[in-house]
Amino acid sequence: MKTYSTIFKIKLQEQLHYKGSYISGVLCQIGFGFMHILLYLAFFENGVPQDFSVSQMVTYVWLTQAFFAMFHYGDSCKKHISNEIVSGNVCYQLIKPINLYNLWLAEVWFTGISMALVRCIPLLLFASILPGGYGLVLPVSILAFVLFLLSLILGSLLIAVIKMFAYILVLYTLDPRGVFNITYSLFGFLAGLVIPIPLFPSNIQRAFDFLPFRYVGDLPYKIYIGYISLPTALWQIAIQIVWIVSLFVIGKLILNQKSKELVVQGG
Amino acid sequence: MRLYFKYFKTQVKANLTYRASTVLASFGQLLGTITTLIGIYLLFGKFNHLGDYSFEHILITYAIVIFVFSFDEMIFRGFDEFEKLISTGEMDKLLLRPRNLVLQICGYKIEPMKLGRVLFGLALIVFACVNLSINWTIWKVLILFEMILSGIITFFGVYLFTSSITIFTINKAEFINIFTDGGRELCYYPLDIFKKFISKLFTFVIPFASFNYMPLRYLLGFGDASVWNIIYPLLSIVFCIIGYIVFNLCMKKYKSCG
Repeated sequence: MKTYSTIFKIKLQEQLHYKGSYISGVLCQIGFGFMHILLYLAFFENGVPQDFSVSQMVTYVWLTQAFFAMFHYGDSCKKHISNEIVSGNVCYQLIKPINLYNLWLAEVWFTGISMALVRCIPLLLFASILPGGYGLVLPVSILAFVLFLLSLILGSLLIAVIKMFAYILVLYTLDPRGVFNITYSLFGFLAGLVIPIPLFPSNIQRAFDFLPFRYVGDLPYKIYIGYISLPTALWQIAIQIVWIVSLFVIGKLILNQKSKELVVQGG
Repeated sequence: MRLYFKYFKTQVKANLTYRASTVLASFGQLLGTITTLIGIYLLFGKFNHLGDYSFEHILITYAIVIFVFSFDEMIFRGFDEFEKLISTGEMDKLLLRPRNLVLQICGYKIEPMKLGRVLFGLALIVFACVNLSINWTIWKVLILFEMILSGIITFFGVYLFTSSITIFTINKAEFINIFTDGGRELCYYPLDIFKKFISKLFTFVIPFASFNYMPLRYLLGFGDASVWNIIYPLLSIVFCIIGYIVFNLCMKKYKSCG
């Protein structure tokens, strides 16, 4: 347990260390938030969807921007792990008395959490003081807020478990560049970063229910804005947990298998 | 010009040494572009039209901005990563050479990896034009070329301005990205669908409208389009010239830090 809390501390400190990229990241996220809101407002002029009001849309966009960073691979984490693979240092990790999958998962998860954590606070503060219908509104109820937090934390774990498959893929391809680019675009689209899931046509939304990606960010935000009722929320959190457990087990099995037959790169 | 092509050839060769990795990385960049387009398509599935425009019209603005932005990114990469030139002191080396500085910076780094996106943009422009239900005349084709050219010039102008700032800040002032990347994302759509202050900003301050809604409205034959709509894109040249002058003025104040 102590190992993991140390990794978490390191990751959080890393984030606070790079102030320049932190501030510019927040500013960019605010800019993009505005842009998306203006775009959807332009679309909404043809008629607001019955199930997705303007203030719900605005809040959804701000939440997406606030926790956007959990989808990022994180430059330092990406470099660290893929360098280990490409340079062959991964064999030192295998000697350590800690499972390789758990170690990497901890690194990936904590990187995501700490990146999102330091960025969401200024952004949410800013978004909540915005006037004129451009601002973030409060969650529908206290209970909804509690469930929102719960499913958000679970969501950050879910995306970490998903990201692990990209790292495992690097073990096979040995070239990290393409893998991270491709998976990031793909996950982002399926998770609703390009356009919010509630704005997808309904048949596609139903299809997304059967994929894990929607349960990362879309589910918590929907709970927050009251898009889904609390019983539905509980039910979907259960699905979220099933996804986490099954992807965790599959990923771990593959990595354990692969590490047995690992051909170490470099001398 | 010959010098520039020589720079270009060297860089292409360097990249082709690692072929598989180049292809994979190009595809990775392309995928982001494609998913955005699918996203826009799906939005139109839900909303039918956006202001005066339909999906076919957005396809034109989207294709043009993808093409011109990737084209500039490939050709003028040295400006895009200008902070590297400054902070490593490479700039001093360029200053010593008896050639035009702007040209040298352009050739300093060229990324053929972006070629995938450039070609994709070009194919998309052709596809969008074929899909558009207007009568293509020589005149209208010329307007299309005008849009593409002024797009290339505008983004080059933007590079000149951002690089001018970088001369003083040394580190890349990331907040500028809101104007460059953010502006690019806005340009996926005709800018006049947004609230007035946005379309004004990108019409009169940064002339993104020069390859966007201004000539587009004329091209589509909208009632309110006048000759002014096709003269306006020339503003991009003015913008670029001002950028060039500002850049050279700032360069006089340049302090080496290598």
